[in-house]
Amino acid sequence: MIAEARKIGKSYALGSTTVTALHPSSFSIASGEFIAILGPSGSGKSTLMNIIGLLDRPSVGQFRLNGTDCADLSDDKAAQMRNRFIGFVFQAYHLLPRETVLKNVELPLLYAGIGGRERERRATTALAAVKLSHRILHLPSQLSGGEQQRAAIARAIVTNPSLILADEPTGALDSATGWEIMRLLGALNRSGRTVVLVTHDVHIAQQARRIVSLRDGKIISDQAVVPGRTDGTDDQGIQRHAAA
Amino acid sequence: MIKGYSVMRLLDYLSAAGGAMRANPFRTFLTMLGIIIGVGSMISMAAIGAGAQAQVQDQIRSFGANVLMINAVPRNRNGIREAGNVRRPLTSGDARAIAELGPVRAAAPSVAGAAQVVHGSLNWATTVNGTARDHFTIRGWELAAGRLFSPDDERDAGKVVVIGSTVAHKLFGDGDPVGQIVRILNAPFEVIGVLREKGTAGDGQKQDDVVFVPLMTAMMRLIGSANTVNRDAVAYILASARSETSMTAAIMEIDALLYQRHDVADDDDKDFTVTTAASILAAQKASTRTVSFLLGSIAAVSLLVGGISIMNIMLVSVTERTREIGLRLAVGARPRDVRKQFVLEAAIICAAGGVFGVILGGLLAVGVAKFVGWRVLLEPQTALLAVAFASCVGIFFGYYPAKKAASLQPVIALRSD
Ligand SMILES: Nc1ncnc2c1ncn2[C@@H]1O[C@H](COP(=O)(O)OP(=O)(O)O)[C@@H](O)[C@H]1O
Ligand SMILES: [Mg+2]
Repeated sequence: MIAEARKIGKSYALGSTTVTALHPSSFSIASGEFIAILGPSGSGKSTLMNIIGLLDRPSVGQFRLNGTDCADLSDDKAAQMRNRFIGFVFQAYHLLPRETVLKNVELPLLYAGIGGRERERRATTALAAVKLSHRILHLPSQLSGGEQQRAAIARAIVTNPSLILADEPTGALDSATGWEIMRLLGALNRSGRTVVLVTHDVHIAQQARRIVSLRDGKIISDQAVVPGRTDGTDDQGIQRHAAA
Repeated sequence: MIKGYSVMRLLDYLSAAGGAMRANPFRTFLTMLGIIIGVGSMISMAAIGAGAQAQVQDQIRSFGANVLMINAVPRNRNGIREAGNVRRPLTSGDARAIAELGPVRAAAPSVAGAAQVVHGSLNWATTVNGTARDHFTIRGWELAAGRLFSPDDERDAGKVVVIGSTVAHKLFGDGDPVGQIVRILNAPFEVIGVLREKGTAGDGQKQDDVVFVPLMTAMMRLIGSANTVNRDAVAYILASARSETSMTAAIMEIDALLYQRHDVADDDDKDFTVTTAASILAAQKASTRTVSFLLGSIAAVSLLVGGISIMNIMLVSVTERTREIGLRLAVGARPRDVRKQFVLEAAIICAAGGVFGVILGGLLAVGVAKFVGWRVLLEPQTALLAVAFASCVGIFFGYYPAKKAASLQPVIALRSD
């Protein structure tokens, strides 16, 4: 298991009331999975993903990533794990506007303490993998949305992490470009990486091999998506899991 | 290897910090203004101070480190200067008595006046000094050619003259003056020696534009009897202490001796002064102290204001760049990496402000030299120190905003739009 959540929940104190973004939920993610977290806006998808990505900590419950309980992690250790183990892709790309595409992709390696020449070599390789070799010295603003998201994917894979977390990666893109991004994520999964994708779009979610559906901060279903071929699944191509 | 990493990291932090400045150069410049003015004042202050110091050093060099000059001054009673002549002038007797004192090596009574010196068709207006040959020993002044006064010349008021290099050049060009005859106030004098060039003193006085005759000669034939009461009166006495450490003792003993010889009752009654290189230094220091204090205050206030404006701008910058901070944290920056980045950014802004400040201060110092006439001296290590200090101001005032940036939670930072 790459990740294991036991009754994790998240609530925020808003004045005198508390808002529960995520009700206590349990699930686990196995190595090599391609999971979509599906749900409407405000259902707690990002909250869940941020906990998985060690960007946030659950208010209750226990979360283990790669065998480590996140409650035992210092901020520094969490930063190090994010750096080595996780690659993030965001809806808003989050590229630094004043840095070139190459420098943006190098950023995680910078914090890994890798030297300039080696950083450049690895970033160039990652950019080639997303077919952006011709754009490396451009600024993000000179790129189209799809290209910016590909640059962000290059940044996510440059440290060769085993877990890719993508929060609405197609949300800001037209559908053709969105599919292109999805093909990239699919390829990353096929090359052995675990991919967790957050989306509100069912069609996008169906590109994954497992869908965790959220509504109002609760996991309402957790099912495997079965591709065209049959391998012991039911007629709808969906294998039911027990929702926690 | 570890070390190599940290150096590399520093460069990376620097490039990250530089980006923010490039993004908003005008604002960065405004932010620097306080630092620029502060460092500018600091630099000009240091330049004026160092210039004064160098001038004093020059004066000490030309005056001589162990040299004492005793001058007669009017008695000063109840704040009113006595009219007329000094009642009890310095005399060659005083000089002889001073020379006898333990800490004193030599003393030379001297008179001085202005006169034309003529050689053939050439004439030159210069200072004529009447003195003893010890005068040259005291000042460490050597001959370029010829000889100094002999004891006979001194006793018999010989019509001999030792000339400074400027006078030699003006009257003789490249020729050899020794053995030639010049006329001073129409009396013929034999040039017996030419002094080595001494250069310009700190106050711009050309020391080589001078001639020396024996004291007796000057008093009897040239200066005349300025003092009708006492024909033994001299203008000043030049003396030297045995060593630098005996200076204080020399001053004290000369004071005591002259108090006794001149019947001085108390300090108000004192009719002479003893000047040393150290007393010149003290006077010089006092004159630049006011300016240094003023510039120092401007520097302190400007640096404080500059530091606060750095802090302010950095706080704004942290707010504006919340998303950038969130992203950096997400991809693996530790809080301390973010903190370092912002501290360095503040330090770089201040260091750049420091560099501009050095330029401003340099220009100011040049202006002071040109229009006020003070000597200024800008030393490179002072400039480096000022830039380093400015960086420290940046680190100090940048620390709080940087800490704020480092304490941001990645989720909240990423969410902000
Ligand atoms: N920092 C917060 N403070 C208060 N409420 C929050 C905070 N973050 C998220 N929420 C709330 O939690 C719920 C789930 O948010 P989120 O996980 O971002 O949803 P999704 O990504 O599915 O759109 C929303 O109702 C949101 O308003
Ligand atoms: Mg969301």
